[in-house]
Amino acid sequence: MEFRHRNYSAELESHALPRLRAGAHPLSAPPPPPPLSQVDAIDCGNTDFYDPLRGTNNDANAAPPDHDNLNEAADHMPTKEWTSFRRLLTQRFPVSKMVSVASMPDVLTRSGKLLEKSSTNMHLEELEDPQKFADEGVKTITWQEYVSRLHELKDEITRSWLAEDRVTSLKLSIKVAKLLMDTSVFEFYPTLFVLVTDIMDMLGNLVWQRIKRKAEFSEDGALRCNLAENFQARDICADAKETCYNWFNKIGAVQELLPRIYLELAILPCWRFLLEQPLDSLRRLVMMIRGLGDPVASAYCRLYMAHCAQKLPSHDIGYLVTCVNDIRVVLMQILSANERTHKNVKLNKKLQVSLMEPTIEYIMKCIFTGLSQRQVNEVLSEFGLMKNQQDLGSVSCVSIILHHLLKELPIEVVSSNVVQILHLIEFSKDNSFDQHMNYRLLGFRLYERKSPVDIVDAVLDKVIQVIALYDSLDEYLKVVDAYTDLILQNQMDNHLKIILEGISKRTWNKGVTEDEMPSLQSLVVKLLSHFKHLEDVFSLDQFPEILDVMYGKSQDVVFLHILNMATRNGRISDPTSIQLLFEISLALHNNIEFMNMKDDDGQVACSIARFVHMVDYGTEMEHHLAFLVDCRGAFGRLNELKETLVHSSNSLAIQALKCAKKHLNFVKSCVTFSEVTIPSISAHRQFDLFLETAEVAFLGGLVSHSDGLIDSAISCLHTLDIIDGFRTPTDVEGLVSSIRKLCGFLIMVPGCTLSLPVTYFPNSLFTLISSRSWFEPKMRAQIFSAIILLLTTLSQKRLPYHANSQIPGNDMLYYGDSSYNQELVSLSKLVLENLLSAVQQEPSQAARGIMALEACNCIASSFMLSNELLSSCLTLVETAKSCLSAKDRYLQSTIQLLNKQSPTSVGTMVSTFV
Amino acid sequence: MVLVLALGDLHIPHRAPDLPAKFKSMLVPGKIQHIICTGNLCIKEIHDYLKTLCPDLHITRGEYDEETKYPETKTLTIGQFKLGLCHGHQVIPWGDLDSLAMLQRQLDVDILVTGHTHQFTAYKHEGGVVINPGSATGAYSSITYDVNPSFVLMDIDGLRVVVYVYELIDGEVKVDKIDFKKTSTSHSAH
Repeated sequence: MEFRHRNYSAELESHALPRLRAGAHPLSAPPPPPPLSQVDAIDCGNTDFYDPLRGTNNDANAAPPDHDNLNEAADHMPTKEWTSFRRLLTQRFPVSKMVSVASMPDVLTRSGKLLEKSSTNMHLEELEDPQKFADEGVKTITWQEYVSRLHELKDEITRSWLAEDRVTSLKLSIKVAKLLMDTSVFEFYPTLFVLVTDIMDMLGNLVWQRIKRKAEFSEDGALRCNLAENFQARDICADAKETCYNWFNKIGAVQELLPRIYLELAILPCWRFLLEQPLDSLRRLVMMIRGLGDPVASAYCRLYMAHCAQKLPSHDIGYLVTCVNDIRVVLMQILSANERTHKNVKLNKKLQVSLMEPTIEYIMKCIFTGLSQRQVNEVLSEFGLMKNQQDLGSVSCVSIILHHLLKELPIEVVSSNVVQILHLIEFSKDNSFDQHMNYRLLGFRLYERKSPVDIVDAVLDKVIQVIALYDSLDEYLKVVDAYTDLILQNQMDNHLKIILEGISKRTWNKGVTEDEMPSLQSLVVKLLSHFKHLEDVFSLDQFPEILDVMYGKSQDVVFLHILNMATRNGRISDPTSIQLLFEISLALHNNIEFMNMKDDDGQVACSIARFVHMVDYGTEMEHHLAFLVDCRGAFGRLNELKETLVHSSNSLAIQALKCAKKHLNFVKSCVTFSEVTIPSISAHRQFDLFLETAEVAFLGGLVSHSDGLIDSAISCLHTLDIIDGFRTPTDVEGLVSSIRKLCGFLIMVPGCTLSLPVTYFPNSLFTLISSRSWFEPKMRAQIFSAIILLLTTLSQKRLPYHANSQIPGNDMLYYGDSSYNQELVSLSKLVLENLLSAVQQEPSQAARGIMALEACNCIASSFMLSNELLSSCLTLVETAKSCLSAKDRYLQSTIQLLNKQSPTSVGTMVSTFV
Repeated sequence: MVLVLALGDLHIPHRAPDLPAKFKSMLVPGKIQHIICTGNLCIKEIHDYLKTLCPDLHITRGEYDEETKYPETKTLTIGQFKLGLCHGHQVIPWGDLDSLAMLQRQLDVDILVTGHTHQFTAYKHEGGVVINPGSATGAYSSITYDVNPSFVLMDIDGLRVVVYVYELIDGEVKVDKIDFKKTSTSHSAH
């Protein structure tokens, strides 16, 4: 057996493609882009019903709203908005298991159980109201039963209608509507409203369809006409008009006011069959609703009217404005009511306002959807808010109404009326809504679009005056958080200084509560996001103090932000910054350990690792290595980080090699650091890291260190089979790949020790692979081929590459040594036998064919093709032919290779065979 | 005219903090139709960055890639050319023409793009063309720590390819080009 002779440098020279300097190339720098103009943020309509600026006054966990895209005309609130609003309404007011009702209507008792009164089921308020408690009519029912019964009623109404028993349908609907007269159900009322109006809408639709069919078809079923979408009352026949008129008469005869209003609203669109101006009915209905004494019941009735009115073809928002004004009157009555000695009155008042708020929200949104500029001004006049300058002192608004008005006003109106708005907020200080939340909302709204600096400045001057009087850190933070972006955007350093001082002072006095921490976090994150450099943030006077008072999850969020900010800007060289970031990393790491938290997405480990990579001590390499040692001690449990430390240490060694002044001892220290760190990393990563470190040591001329590391790498393989997790095809493929890389590296490594044979490492690999049963035939074949190629390369007079010119390769050490060559040949024979055996052991036919060709290529590339070897190759080709298609291009190119490589004396045999 | 960016062995952040600024200013979205990357990116952020340059991104696995699902080899066809991709640390000896030819036969491609040595090379042999784009960051390699950052841009037009080599030498970007055509002998009928 004889190795093929190669002259690597000559081959490369003869095959190199010539290079020419390129004058022009496709990536030439393009002309500089035009300077960026200030782009205003698009003032998208706000379709959220849930107010993210505040939680509910109750303990409810409000779900985030659905963000359905508006795909209908902008001047209509489409059905899906109503559906979304209803869902949110029920979510905002979770219901207790038992619902207390003022009386048990017979409509609910058809199948529901009548529960005995007991003290445990009574609401606290009722116990404090002896008169009500004594009333024999007080009953309780589970809300599930209540809901279930309403669903039954809905089905009953439908069945009656289908049976043409419309009288029963109407009677049942009246009873359903009556349920809304009982507001003593408190938190259940919004849910009840949703359920009842669902039935009302169903009835309204049934009536509409019936009358429309009468209008379009005659008594005998013949088509009379097709009503256009925009039909007029004059288009309707007398018969249909009469039916429609009868419905309104029946509903008008309902004795109680509230169900009468609800039912008329339910069939409101039917006025189109009778009146040319259906909107006229709305003005009457607005007046009728004023007759509802209960604040909650009247507010929700107005809400239903806003919903039903949208079904009319033309729109007039005048009635909606009147609704808001009426609600305001009611609210003022509630808020001004004298507090009695009982605490429950105050609680009741707050609950009433809370229940009424969604109605204000929805109606306000209806008012402002699709409104023109002129119309906005008219609306504001109707609200009585934008009077001339001298009357400003007398203008006030209920704060919760002002809140939702401010939320819906177009941003242009907000910007141009900001002084008046500030005035309104200042003088609308009542219990319906927290004043500071309106200041907060104003800040967020101003940020929606680039506002003139003078306006922002004026607002901030005023707001800062107001909040200076706040003792509460929570309120202070809620407001300044909304203005921070404006301050940063307009570079108002003085204002920033003032608010940071304000925060620092309030934290110093009382510390920060858990509830206040999210607001503080939000503000700090805005600061970090605004400044490009960490030094700029920390140079702010109170910033370090504010950071010190943070704790818990908010602190972690801020610390991660700081880490990511620091690593985003590239190398970190300042020793003070490095120390600060190290301490931050330590805090993050310790929080994970202390709380026994899982770093679920690896974000903390990843951020710390990125930080370690970015640290750059420049020429102070000893300090850098000391830093890495500190990190290993501090972050021992982060596996990702230890891998980072090895890479960093190896890079540091390379950096030292490039710097001629550095002594070799430092490189040794770096290599030793890596060598000590790697064993603590998870096993499947160790091989590649040992190999990288061995390469670095070798580049530094540390041959004995390199040998030790190679030995360690091979030793890794001994432990792998006891690790159950290391068996996925991807892992195995990666391992084979890495072993092949090791073979490429071993080409450079001299076998110079007297006590070990020159083939020590290749032989170790071969022995290991042969002895492990879990190495599959395909793996074995690939590694055996790699060993053969390694031995072939080692046999050459000149090796293809050297890493260090001062380290002689085996081509110099063993030049002309026949025993060296014999040793290579001997091991090659052994490995080749095993390679051929591995190919035949492969169970998969297709894989076996490919393996045969790979082995054949390896042999043809490595050896002079003697008769014996040629025979082996032909056997392999035969195997491939039996497994693969005759047209397989790999097969054909391999045969071509054999013809080229074969000595002329056996050429005939190959030709005949082919 | 189809532009194919070939690059690899970035080793960010393990061995280099980022791509050279002069390379980054040249690599802008919208110019390149395909990217082939030999591997060792090593982290997801670099993958995402390359995706912003060009959504058609093909990657093979280097030994230090965090993403272990990248394949060992990959082939794709662009125009009249069949391209093969492999990191190259598995080829023994590294960068050897015969061993690369072996791989080229196996993949049956006109142009084989590999890396690992961190040195640009371009060879033509009877089976086709073998190109190594070098290290885009100039990171140290298994063989040397004296590496100039480089990458390759292939302009494929019909049966002709112009290979542009971008090298950062002493702070300046030098651009060379290599011109070759696909010949019918690349795939002889047997």
